[in-house]
Amino acid sequence: MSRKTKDYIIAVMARDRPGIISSITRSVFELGGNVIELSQTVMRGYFSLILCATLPAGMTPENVRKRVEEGNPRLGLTVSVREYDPQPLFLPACDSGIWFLTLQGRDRPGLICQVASHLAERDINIEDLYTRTTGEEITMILQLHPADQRSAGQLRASLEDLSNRLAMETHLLHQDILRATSEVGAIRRLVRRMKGEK
Amino acid sequence: MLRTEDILMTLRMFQDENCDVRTVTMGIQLHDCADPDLEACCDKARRKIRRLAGRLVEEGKQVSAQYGIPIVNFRISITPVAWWAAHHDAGGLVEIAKALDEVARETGVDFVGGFSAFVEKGETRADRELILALPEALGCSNRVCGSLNVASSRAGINMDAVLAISRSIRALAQRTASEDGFGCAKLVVFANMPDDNPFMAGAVHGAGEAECVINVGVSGPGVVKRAVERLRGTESAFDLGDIAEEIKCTAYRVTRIGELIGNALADRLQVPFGIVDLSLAPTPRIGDSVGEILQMMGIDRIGAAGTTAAVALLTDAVKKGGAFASSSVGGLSGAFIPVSEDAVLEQAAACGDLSLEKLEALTSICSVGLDMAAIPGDTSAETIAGIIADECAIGVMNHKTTACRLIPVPGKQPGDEAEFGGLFGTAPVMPVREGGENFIRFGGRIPAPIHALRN
Repeated sequence: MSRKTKDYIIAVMARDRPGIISSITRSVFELGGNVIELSQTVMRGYFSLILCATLPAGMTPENVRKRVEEGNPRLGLTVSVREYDPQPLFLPACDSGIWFLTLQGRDRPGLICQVASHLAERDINIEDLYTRTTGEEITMILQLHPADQRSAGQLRASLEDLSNRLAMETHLLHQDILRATSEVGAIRRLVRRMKGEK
Repeated sequence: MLRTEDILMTLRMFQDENCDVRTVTMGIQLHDCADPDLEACCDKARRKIRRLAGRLVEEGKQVSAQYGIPIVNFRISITPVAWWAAHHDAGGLVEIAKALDEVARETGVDFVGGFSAFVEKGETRADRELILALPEALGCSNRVCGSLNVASSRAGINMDAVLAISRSIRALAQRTASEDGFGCAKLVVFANMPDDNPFMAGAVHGAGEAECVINVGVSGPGVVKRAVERLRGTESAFDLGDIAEEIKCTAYRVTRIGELIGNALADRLQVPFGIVDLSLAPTPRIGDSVGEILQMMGIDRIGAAGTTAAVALLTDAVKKGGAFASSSVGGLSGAFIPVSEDAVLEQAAACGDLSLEKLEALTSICSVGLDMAAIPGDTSAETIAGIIADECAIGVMNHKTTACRLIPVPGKQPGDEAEFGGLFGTAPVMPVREGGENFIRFGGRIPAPIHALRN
């Protein structure tokens, strides 16, 4: 980002159909901008997207929102725009590692809130969350980043308590185990990377 | 985020399918512990093992907790005792076994392997003393394991050593008669013994190895069985090629876990990582059986026609998956078929479906064919030697490792059962065929096969 440009975070929600990404990115292009990061998903027919774009300085978030939302009226977009702030609010210690917590059991209202609160109390950030419900059974997969080693230790130590309290089967897997079993990269690189993080 | 299906598949391996790291074995070189003074020799060995392996279990548990992966056993393998304790007679070697037992208990490992010798071409005085010492050394200790390499594709089969070790096996069975001859479960006789095997009872830290290394044995019969089961549960048509592919992919995942844990632990202990052994090692637990995999592959009665082909497919697919997963594959790396340690194999042997002869045939395509096989206590040393020689012949001629862990159960006959307890399980006493004793009594060495001349 130079002095003449500024980065913006743009979030968009709409009913899914072909052409949404094409329309949004065209709007950004016509504003003189460039998309530098984008993540998109569709759930139950609803489209959701978050992107980071570099745009000419002097543009307000409201200008950008209007241009994207109102420039594509037939798509029924709900757009939200913020100026990008590079200062993170959560900066985990690099040795705390990334973990995947899975929970499996009976679904009921308030479950995600209970799990999320348990993690928030221990300063553990949820970086990604996936849930799948089949009948009355729910599977939750959470990608977690504890704030530091102490927080990671608390996560491991409290797992049984969480499992008993929610009457769900829980399991915690280190990211490297999943990378080892799912990717083809060299194991030694994984170990060296972890060593470098200490 | 990683793919959800990949995460759930890895999760299932630990939650439902008994996947674990079966053993982390620290190999320790003990040549520098040689000393003509017995007490000094024992002391040097104790001190060196304590120094190098003192943190093995503690650090291993931390790695296990760090990754959330169970490590079932921590073990030590050492330089074959006959190489560094050559000054001592059988009585002295028994004292060395006691010292090893003591230091194994101190360091918290369940076994130390390497009360061993390599005698495929001939025995030294020290080798002969070790063979004589084996019954008392393994009988009076709890954690010491022994092995003897009696044959190789380069040297042939040392039939004098085969007969001598057979006499020691009988004596060891008698020495531990109150436990159904359990002492013999700690003794393996090999052809083409690997120098870096992490699995007991045949683990040693052989020639050409570094001062100290971490070797890992992974396991996953349960994971492989469930993979085949899932394939059978799909609606689309599949054939044996698809089963092989499924096993290969599963072996890849299992091996990668072993490689990761081994590297991480070696890094913590500041020693080199040695090898990962891919062998499928069963336990008597339901869901942790090689026999169950074969049943899932359609061999309803283990030992029936087709069993050898099924084990060949299984072993080869495991090796292919493992070889792609790791550049440090070593040890035995084949399927284990220990009769007493695998509930389904034990049942097959008990009902007569699985005979010693069929197990011997399986040796040609897996690593240890006659493993934890109970035989009548009154089997002669010559007959035991004949069984061992047959196994060795398969190994020598096919340039592969073969081994025997035979247990002559004192006072028991075919139809009886031997009880070893815990993960060693129970074993039906299997009948043996006699009549080849005169061949064994000739002694000498069966020459190396013509294809040993490779240079």
